[in-house]
Amino acid sequence: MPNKQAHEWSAEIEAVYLREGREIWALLYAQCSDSDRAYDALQEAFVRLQNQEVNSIRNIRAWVLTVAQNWLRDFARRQNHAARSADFLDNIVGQNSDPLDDLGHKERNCQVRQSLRQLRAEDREVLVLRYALGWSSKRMSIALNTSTSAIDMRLSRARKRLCEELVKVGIDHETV
Amino acid sequence: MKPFDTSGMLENDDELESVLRDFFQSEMPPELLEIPEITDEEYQQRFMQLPQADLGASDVFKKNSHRHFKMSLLISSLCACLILGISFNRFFGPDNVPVVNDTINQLKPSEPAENDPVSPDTKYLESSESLAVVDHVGTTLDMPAPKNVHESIDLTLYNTEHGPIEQRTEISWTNITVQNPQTGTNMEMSMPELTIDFIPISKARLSLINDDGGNEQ
Repeated sequence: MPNKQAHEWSAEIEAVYLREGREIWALLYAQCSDSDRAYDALQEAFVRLQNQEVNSIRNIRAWVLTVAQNWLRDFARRQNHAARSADFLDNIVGQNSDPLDDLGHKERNCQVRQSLRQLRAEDREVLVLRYALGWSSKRMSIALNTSTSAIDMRLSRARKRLCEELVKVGIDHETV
Repeated sequence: MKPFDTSGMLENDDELESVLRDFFQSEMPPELLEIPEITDEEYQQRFMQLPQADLGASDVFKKNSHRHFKMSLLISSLCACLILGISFNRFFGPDNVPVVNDTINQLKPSEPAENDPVSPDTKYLESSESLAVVDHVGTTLDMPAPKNVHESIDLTLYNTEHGPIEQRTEISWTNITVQNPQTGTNMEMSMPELTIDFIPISKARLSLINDDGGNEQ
């Protein structure tokens, strides 16, 4: 009987991961502007969820999001003392793409990431939900508990601020 | 060009959108990219099924705060009305006795006795012209001017063979304060005076009384 409950619990966690994983990652990314770190926080939260008592959490999504955000804060505190990840080295071997294109692509991503970091978390949040997840304004208004017009306004202002930051780092319509 | 005017830098939203979509496409972990996306309707249904207590914690707090604010406002309004009512009753109420200046003994203004037969149409008259001397238990008391006079008048009309007659019953209570010079104590006194008059009245006056809603029998 306990094994059955544990199996159901694992199945429910997996369903939540498939259902909410992208959205939670996007919200975490809006907080830290680091894809890998947001993904690590997401994984860490779900690992901790697996160790919780069966059916002890009422709202799994809220629990995972809170744990992941706390993990991000802890990581930010200790990042100056930790060694950097070398996972990117694993992807170098076997790639056939042009090194110059890769370099240009990485440089642009670095500039966009740098510009996003200059924005407020609220601006990053709507930009990530719109352009990373492709959400509509209606869906964002449901998730953020506000109106569609307010979402459109926030998006417009966030885009304008991002454009200003992109221009500062050298991205304009000629380089796009 | 303004320092931060970027309207001409990235020509339109499509260019910015392409930049951001490419960026987030490369940023998102491959595992998450493979997860199928649900529709807005499914998301809305799923969102409605989540525990509302967790989702709307801030809303509950706002509602409670608003409720507490309304409650405190109501209590404050009631307190203000109560204070105003008490103040009005104290300064303009029926218990307020006109202050009489007593320049001789510096006495406090007296209030009418509790058993005073004061009717609603009682008049308060001030009189400072009379002076009396009362023989009280063998001692002579100087009686200052009467404090005030309560006057009550009742009118009753009778139709008799000789025409209408008005019975005018007048009761007046005179409150006075006397001082015993030996003991130095003050004493309140109320002296009634009853006057009953029967006055034949003319028809013209009777019609006026009837128009005014006076007593009629």
